[in-house]
Amino acid sequence: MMRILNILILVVCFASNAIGQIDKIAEALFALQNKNLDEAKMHIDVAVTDPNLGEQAKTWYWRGIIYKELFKSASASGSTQIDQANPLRMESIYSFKKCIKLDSVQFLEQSLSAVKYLSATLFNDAADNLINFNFDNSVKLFQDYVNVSKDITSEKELISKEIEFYNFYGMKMSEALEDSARQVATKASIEKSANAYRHVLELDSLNQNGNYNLGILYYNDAVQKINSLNFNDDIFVIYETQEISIGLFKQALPYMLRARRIDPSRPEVLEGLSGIYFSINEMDNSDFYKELLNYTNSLNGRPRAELEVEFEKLKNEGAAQQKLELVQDLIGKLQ
Amino acid sequence: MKKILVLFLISLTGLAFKTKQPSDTNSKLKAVFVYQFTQKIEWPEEYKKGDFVIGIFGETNVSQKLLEMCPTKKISNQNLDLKSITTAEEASKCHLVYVTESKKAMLAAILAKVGDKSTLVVTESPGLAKQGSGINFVVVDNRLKYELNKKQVEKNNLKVAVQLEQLGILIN
Repeated sequence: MMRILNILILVVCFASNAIGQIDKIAEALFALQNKNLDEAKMHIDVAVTDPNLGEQAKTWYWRGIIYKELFKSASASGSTQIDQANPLRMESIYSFKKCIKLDSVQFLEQSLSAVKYLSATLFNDAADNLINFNFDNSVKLFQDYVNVSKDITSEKELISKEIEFYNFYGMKMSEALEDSARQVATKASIEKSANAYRHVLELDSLNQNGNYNLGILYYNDAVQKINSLNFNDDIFVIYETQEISIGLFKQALPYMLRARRIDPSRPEVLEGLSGIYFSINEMDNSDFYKELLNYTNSLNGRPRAELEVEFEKLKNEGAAQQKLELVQDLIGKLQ
Repeated sequence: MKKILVLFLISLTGLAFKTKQPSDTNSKLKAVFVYQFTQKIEWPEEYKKGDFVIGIFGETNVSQKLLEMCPTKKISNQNLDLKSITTAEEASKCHLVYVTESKKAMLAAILAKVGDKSTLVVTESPGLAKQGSGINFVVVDNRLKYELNKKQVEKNNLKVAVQLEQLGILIN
């Protein structure tokens, strides 16, 4: 790195016409070489305000590099220090993008690579903040990731990352609700969790995790309400709580049914359906999905040929559609 | 050779998955109802001494839920004695006997043994209030409700609070 910087400093000196201009970039690079990042920042910020240098791709490229080093140095002290590290990262990205705009040939590969690297750090930091229940920071970082990635990532990939992020957001939000102190600290709510899953389903109504998670969110909320009933609660309160919970169980049902249609052999979904039907006292349906769950577990690990024989057997027996779909799905997963 | 920086994005897909709370909500509801029955029904004076005995006929989570909810193990001023019973004879010695679905065939024998003693018989199968149980759990529009056979309960010399009567389905 040091040798490369030495050569680059010489190149900068020879390539520039005006002595003042040479000083500004060269001084920034000398400071960078000496790991004096604050001084490097000071010189490069002056350089980009120069009417001549400010229009040159290399000035912005080096500004991107210096700010990237500043970001790495700031973020080393902890990913949650978003206020200090993130503005440096965003300045670095801005500089690399400006460099690409001014000259789409000379620095393209390195600048693009740097922007991709920095956008990946944005997503990873958003995820890291979510893991640590820093919801506001995570959303801000994710929005920055989306804005930065728009012109370097395909729309399909961005949507896929958005789905991934909001499914995880909803899950962490509902996890925060399990601890009352954390719930207060993070202002977590079931509604925020549900909104995250609904956002996922707006992007892709057939997203399996989104459907399953929203179903489970309503289911768990209903169970929680019944479990919090106390022995001295009046009969009127019991009826009222039951009424609210039945409403929630019924809200959970369509999402869980859709999750089954998407992945007919997923055990958690079959268990979820059995639980929902049990809770709304539809015991035949509950037993049916419980039986499907046991059936899928019994087929687990069977070779494809055996599953195909099983499928034919079920077809001849006129088995339930859900059972046929289950075996077909398991066969498909082995392809 | 140019050095290209590559950083992979964390995959959150496998992490974004919430698990279901395992819970038998029906048993919990039945348990809170049963506890309320003990509060809204008055037993004769001679039954207000000693332990308050609840007999469970058959396998059910209701007994476990009752114990979880009632950590002091007291029903009013009496100590709760929750026991599993297997004969009709034992049923007649309880304040309240809970007959599970799997033991509904025993109802006639239990009623014969109870006679006009102050034992409240609680069941959980359609039509059993008409067959003589005092209170029977039923499902109406997906909801758990209870039928009250007032005549039978009064025959057992038990006084039913107005609220219990108003919120139940009366069976004559």
